Amino acid sequence: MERGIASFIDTIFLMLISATAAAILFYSAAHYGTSLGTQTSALILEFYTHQVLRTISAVTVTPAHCTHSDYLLAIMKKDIYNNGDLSKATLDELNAVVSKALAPIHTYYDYGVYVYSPSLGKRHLLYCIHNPSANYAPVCGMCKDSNAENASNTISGAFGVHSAYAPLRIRTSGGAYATLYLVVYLWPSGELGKRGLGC
Amino acid sequence: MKRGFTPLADMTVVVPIAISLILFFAALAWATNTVESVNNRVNLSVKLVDLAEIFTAPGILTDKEFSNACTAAAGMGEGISYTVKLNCDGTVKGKCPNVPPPIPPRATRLVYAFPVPYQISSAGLPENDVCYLEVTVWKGA
Repeated sequence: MERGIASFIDTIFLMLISATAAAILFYSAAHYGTSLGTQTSALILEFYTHQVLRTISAVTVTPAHCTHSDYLLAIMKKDIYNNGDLSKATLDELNAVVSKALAPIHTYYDYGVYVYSPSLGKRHLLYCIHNPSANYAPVCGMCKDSNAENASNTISGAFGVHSAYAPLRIRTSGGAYATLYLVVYLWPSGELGKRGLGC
Repeated sequence: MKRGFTPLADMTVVVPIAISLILFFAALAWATNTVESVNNRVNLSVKLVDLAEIFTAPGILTDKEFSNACTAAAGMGEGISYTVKLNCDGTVKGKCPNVPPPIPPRATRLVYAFPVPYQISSAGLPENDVCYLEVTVWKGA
């Protein structure tokens, strides 16, 4: 009888050990899958973000008042040289290019394009976010100056945001050179859309 | 005389051992399958980005650059099949001439469209528009 109880206890221990081993296997395989899945998505999104920036750098547009097209970056440089800041029309052109570049993934991802020059004190942020609380309705807009800076800080500090940036050398009307930074942010629709960017 | 081991009589021992073994091997099979599936997806994702990089490396894509990139991508087979298309406003402007095998049933397939600046006209000042590079990859030589 004692021997039978001992055998039973032994098998219960074996079951506990194998259950623990199975649980560890389940956990580690699931964790491995989640972790690598996140990293591969990040790899593709990082590439996508850089492609958006490359597209902005090379695309040509025809402004409303012109008959011929020009590089979008050249138009931005001309704006700053002539007016000291980017015009609303140029920002609209930039927004149109970015939203076209993001069209394939626009349903699931939010974006922000931050154009700023610290030396000139000019800051603009174009954004399009989906609000999960409002059935993922898209909210697009523009922020300026300190609002743009705050919104950019909010975006860059959020989790899962991919970014790519390029510095541009620009000339001001006074003949001095300054640097204009172009930053593209891309992130999955979610929490940030619910909180909003505050501008 | 001592009684020998009889499965029916020793159910209290046999059942827990059987449950333990089934549980452990089921977990092992699931974990192996999951790791294999994840590795497969990682390989596909890396190949997808590698392929797209070949096409986007020139910066601005022209018909000639697209054709050159198709030739360069031709050597990237090795167990992965792919198709690459250049789509501009719903019109297919280019397609790599490789003929991949059909996608096996239930095989994982990754499809992504990346934006590329495409030169629609080179007369005078070049005109570059936003087009999409549609890359599809799946496992199967």
